[in-house]
Amino acid sequence: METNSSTLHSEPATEPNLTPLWLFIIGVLVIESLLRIMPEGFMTRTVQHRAEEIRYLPPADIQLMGDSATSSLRVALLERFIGEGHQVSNYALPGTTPLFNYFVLRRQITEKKAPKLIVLAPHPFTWGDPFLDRFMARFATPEESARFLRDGVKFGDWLYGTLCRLSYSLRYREELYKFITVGDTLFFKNLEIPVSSVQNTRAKISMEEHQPPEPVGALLTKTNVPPLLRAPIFIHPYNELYLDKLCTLAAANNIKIVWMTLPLPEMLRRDFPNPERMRAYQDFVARKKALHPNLFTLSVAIPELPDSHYQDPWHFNSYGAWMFSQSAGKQLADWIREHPFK
Amino acid sequence: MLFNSIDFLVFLAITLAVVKAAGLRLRNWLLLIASIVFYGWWDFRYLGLLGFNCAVAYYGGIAIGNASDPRKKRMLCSVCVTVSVGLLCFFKYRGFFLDNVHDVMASLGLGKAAEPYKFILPVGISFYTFQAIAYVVDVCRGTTKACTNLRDFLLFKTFFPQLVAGPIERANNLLPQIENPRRVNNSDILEGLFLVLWGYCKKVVIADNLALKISPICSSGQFDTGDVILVAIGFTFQAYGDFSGYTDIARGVARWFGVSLMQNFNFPYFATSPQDFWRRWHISLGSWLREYLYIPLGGNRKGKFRTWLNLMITMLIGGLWHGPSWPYVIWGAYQGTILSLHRSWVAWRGERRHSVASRILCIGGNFILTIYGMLIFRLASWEQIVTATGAIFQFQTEPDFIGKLVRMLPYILLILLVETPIFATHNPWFWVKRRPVITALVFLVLFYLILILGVTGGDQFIYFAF
Repeated sequence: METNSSTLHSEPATEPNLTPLWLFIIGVLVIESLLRIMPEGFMTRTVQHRAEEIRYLPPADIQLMGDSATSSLRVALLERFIGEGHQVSNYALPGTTPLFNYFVLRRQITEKKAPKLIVLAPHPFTWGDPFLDRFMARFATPEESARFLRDGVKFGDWLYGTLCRLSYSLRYREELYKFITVGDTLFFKNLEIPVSSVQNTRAKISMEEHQPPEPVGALLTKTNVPPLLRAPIFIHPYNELYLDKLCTLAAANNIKIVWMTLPLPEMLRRDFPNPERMRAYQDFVARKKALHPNLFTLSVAIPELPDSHYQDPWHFNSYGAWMFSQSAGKQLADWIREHPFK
Repeated sequence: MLFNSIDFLVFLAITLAVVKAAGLRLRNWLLLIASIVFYGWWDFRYLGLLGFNCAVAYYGGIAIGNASDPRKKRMLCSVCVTVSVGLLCFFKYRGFFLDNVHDVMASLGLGKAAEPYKFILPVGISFYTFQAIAYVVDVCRGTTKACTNLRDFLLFKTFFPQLVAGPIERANNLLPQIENPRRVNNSDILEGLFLVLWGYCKKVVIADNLALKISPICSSGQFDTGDVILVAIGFTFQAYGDFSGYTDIARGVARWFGVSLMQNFNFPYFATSPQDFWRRWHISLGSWLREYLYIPLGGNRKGKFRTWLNLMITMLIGGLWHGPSWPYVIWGAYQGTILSLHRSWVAWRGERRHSVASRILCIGGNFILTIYGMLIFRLASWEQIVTATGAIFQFQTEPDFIGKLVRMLPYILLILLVETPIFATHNPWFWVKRRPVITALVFLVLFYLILILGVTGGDQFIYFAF
């Protein structure tokens, strides 16, 4: 069992030169340059465009915040149910997490475009990951990046995010990973799709207001449920940190926050029964409500909708969005009657 | 500090730059400081324990070296070994022991079942304890001179690439390289880079992705035949990727400081017998168990029965070394059993030269024994081992079994693609000693595999639990 270490590293007669190392470094730089001239994908362009719109669009008094699941809610329907001349904006940013909401509100306050009421409705499962790389690489300004570090995130996480900003290999890592592992070409197809702004989404939705889309049969199957949705909900510390900061910032600017929990498809409970799955989320909501006087909740329990309301386990289809917007509008109207904020 | 953390990459970059700038004269001081920072980064309170372990070995080594009476040497050596083993037992095995005592007493109606003991395992304690024992025993045997330079000795014990997860370096290999620093040459840079890139690839691309595929099966606790095959094959390559990946990163990083650490894995899945496997798998542990446990117990010099008994004791302790839990003990017993059976087989049949066909058969047969051993190693309890073993003979698989197996294949093929040419040519630097363009391309492919397919925020190295 003796190991002969002399065979394990060579002592060549002539010292090799470092040409392979220099060629390797040149190769990395070439790939970086090629990725740098590649256009951004649909999601990133949308997030960046919407974040810019925040700076110049007139503020609505009620503002939806959340992720792609939230962004499908029908603004005009919500306005109709809430009534009393309230205007609603949907500033949900697809592919983002609660971490982003704090920085969106901060930008709005700086531009004096802040709402009076925020309806916070990220998908319950997005609390598990802050999407730090997306935030740092594709959203945060240098000043926000510096603030992110000062706010107490781990140096290693901050450095990784900064590297994602600097290196386009890391920036496009997510898209390249999906392309290589599951042959997902969505990113490349998305390059041609025009950006989805807050304004044109609103116009499109208004047209659908009086004409609900047709319900579709259930497309969900047990096998297309990603592992994250099968596991118990997890609250990432960074998302919690920035929820606290969002509430504090909102309170300092006299803004109320209503936490609206988006419903999940029935199949998650039916096919993956786990009574403990929602426990962490419900405890989290209750804890935060007790901590922040300006934070209100519509319900602590996670509601359910039939599978036919969803296009995939995460997102509503048009019919589901239309149906849920109605019930959300009614709930919000009741809440506003009890808590007038104008 | 984990090798697969961004903190480590920053730490490494700073350490390399500072050591390079300072030159050879200050190298050992700077590496010692860096090693203390590296260990203290995890939990500085356990630096005291590491320091105490070093002090016992250092002063014990000097005292043994100065003693002229062999009996006094052996007595001093026994004291040092007892103190080191005592600390290891206290920190690593006391909870396991007390839990089992409580369970036995509760089953006899002599007390209530208590909550399991919670304790923190100082990272790397198994590795640096075994290294300390090897050092004092070698000094006692006269195969190593006692080191009298405290700085060099501390660096030998704490040199950060090998501190927390091995290889369990022997004084004969590492100490002379510390006492006589040499300049880093171009071979060190290129071969180190290959080891580091391939090591990271094995860890974050192969091991962590395979872990994602088999962990849900293991945590469900329900197995059919297909599940058992997936877990056994998946973990066999996950364990190799994880263990050998760590070692390769350690060896590569050490080369950048002009130090050659011993090889710890030598194509273990090409082994032709259980004995051959232990010459290729975790070599530094296997050789430690042989030199400091099996041979002192009598080895194969005291008849058949004692040989089997010695093998069993050695492998049981080897199993327990991996962690204070029964599956590791069972794994050790399994290893002891197949080693004993193989020895009996060879004794009965006599040593013969392998033809190519019989060699391939032996590799295949031994591989099956290995993956069953890995299955035992992976499972969390005796109940799971029984369930999984029973499931092998159900001959039932779920419809997506082949799909799941195929999705594991690219990671397994990647290992074969990179390592088979190295194995076939007996040239560890097969990919480095190519034309510069080819070598650069290999570096580039490995780098982008890590960048794109690497699991970020993945598991810590399995070794860290030992």
